[in-house]
Amino acid sequence: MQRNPAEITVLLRQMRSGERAAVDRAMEVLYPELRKLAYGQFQREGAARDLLQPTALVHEAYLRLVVQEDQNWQNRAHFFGAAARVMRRVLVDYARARGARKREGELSAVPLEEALAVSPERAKELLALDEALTRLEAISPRQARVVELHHFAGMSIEETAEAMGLNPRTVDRDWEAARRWLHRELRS
Amino acid sequence: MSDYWDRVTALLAAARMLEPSARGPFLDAACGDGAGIRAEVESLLAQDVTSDGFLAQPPTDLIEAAFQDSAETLAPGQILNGRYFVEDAMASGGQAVVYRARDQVLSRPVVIKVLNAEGRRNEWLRSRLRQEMEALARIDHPGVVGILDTGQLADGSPFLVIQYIDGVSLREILRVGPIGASRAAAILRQAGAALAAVHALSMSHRDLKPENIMLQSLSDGTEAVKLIDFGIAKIERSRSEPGTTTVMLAGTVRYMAPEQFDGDNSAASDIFSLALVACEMLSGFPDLRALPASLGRQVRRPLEMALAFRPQERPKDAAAWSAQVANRISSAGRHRRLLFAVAGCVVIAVGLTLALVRRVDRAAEETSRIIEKVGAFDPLAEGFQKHNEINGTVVDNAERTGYEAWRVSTSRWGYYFRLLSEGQKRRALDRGWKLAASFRTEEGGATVGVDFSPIGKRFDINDFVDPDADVVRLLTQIVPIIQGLDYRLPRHAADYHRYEMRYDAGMQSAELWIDDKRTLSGYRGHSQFQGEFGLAFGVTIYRSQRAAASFKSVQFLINP
Repeated sequence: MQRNPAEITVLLRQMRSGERAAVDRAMEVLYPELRKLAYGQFQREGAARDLLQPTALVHEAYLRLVVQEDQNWQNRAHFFGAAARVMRRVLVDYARARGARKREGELSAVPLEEALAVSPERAKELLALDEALTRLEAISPRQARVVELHHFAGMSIEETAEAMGLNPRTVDRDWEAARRWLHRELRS
Repeated sequence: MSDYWDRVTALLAAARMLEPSARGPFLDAACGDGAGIRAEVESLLAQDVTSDGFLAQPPTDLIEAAFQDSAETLAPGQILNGRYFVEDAMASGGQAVVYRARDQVLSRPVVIKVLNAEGRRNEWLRSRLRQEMEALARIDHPGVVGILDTGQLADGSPFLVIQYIDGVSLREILRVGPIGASRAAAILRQAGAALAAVHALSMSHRDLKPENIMLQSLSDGTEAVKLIDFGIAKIERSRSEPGTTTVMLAGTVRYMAPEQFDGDNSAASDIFSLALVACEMLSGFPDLRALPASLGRQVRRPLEMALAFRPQERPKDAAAWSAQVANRISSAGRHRRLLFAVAGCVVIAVGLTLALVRRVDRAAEETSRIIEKVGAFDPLAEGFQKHNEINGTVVDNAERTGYEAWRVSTSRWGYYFRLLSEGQKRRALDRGWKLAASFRTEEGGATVGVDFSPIGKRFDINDFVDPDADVVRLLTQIVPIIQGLDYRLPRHAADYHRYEMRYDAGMQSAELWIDDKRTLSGYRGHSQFQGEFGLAFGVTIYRSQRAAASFKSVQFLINP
């Protein structure tokens, strides 16, 4: 399962040129890596550890996957953009699966403690957020990216700005507008 | 980004820098008479995003759960116990995931089984897997898959290292229909002996079904049976576990003994399941009623005993019982072959040589007269395969008790099918057959059909719901393409109609009866839509966006 670092470079180039399939490929390439890192976290820290921090995962994946000479800002931007996308997709898939499992309820009861981990309402909320974010994408693709990086990948405003090659003030403004727009979509 | 949205974003940012009282005048000045943009900015300003902490934190709870939940709890490339190199996930079900791995010390493939995220969070399941593996490690029988090693993951949950079996499951063999009597007898005998070894240690398998019976081809042309998956993937409620309130009925319930639904497992439950597996090997269906008459009382009787409702009335010794049934199956097969041989001699004496080649596999074919799908069982668990895009769910009838049908729905088309062997097709066309189905077409069109290609034609029962008149209309064609039959049935939401197609070998045509009324005769089938599906039932969109139908039963029966 060893990935060739060159593959990542090619992928990032594709993403730069905006190929749609590149997102699916990002899922294919980055997800196993993120999962492996997440697994490492689970293993290392045992029961008393803190919750998994998405930003730590994404940064670690970056260091492991992107070869040194390729660390120019554009690749960096595309890598973090792709990783944030993958995070979003993983969560959406998970929320959908939980929803589906709920519907099968008659045949397989879910253990109580498991059911408490993430409530069906929480899953539904995430799916609604995803849909709203897709609508925001039509209005402002850049703001949608900001939400992915800042919220789904857990990056700070400064990190998001760096990853996107933007001024932190611009990111902050984008974030406030996007967040309020989403809030209106979801809560009213 | 549109200019409009750019401006909104900029105005919002500027307004937020100001005291609330200064925002109105600012927007007055900035927006001029752009009332629309002003309203938009004010609406966004009014959003209270701080008090409910909207999007304030990354969704770490979900991220945590999603990664924990990803079925593959082991990562490829990971090394366990310093020697097992994890390659990839092979299967996951219920509470466990199975991986292919390589033992680097002995340089051979092995299988590693761990509880998945769901299973690992349950302390009881963990201790249960541990007990199970200690017990399994004590079984040393060629018919039971060997436990090679055990260990603990970093989070304290146990894992099992299991012998890798290079073979196929009985399920894969049965997908294309029943198997010959002598092969069935051999498998039954070995599976019974293996179960006896398990029972001798006061354990039971709990989840015996064709999926869990592996067949390994040996160099001498015979095959060896190995039982796998000992009630680990599925763990039922246990009376000895007062803290557990969960009842797990995941997976197929087709082979479970009645008492297992109450959480009681014993050796007798395994014998019940094995008897159903025997029926399926002989008839293609896990049901005593499907057994061919040619097997006779001698075979039927011990199977009946093993399928007794009360566990205490079933045979006690799996090895002795299965050997008895196996012997009787073999001798029934021998009698038939003898009969055919004698008949063959007479035939040759008369000077006709037909049917000689066919007689050898005849006894096996004799066994597969009935193929059916019953009630709310998942067709996939009954040996059907799925073609194209359909969803299946259980139809639960609250007024009566229990489940009544299997509902199939789609936004395109698709069906479930069981292949027929060429022998089955030939015999059906030689002797006549019956196709009976009870279903309710709810939206779009529904189909039940049998395809005899390449040796014969295809026969379909097609209907669809007419959205304009509240009726179900029969579409089955008398003459290919040209003339469709338009027979209308009243439609009440709760109504199942019973369709029965009877094919007369002499006339080479079929009659269709609906709700015991003859609605079509002289149906000669059609040849322009042939495919290899055998028996199929499914749904398709027709004057609708979606299609759905509930199938209570579908039965295909070859005349004796």
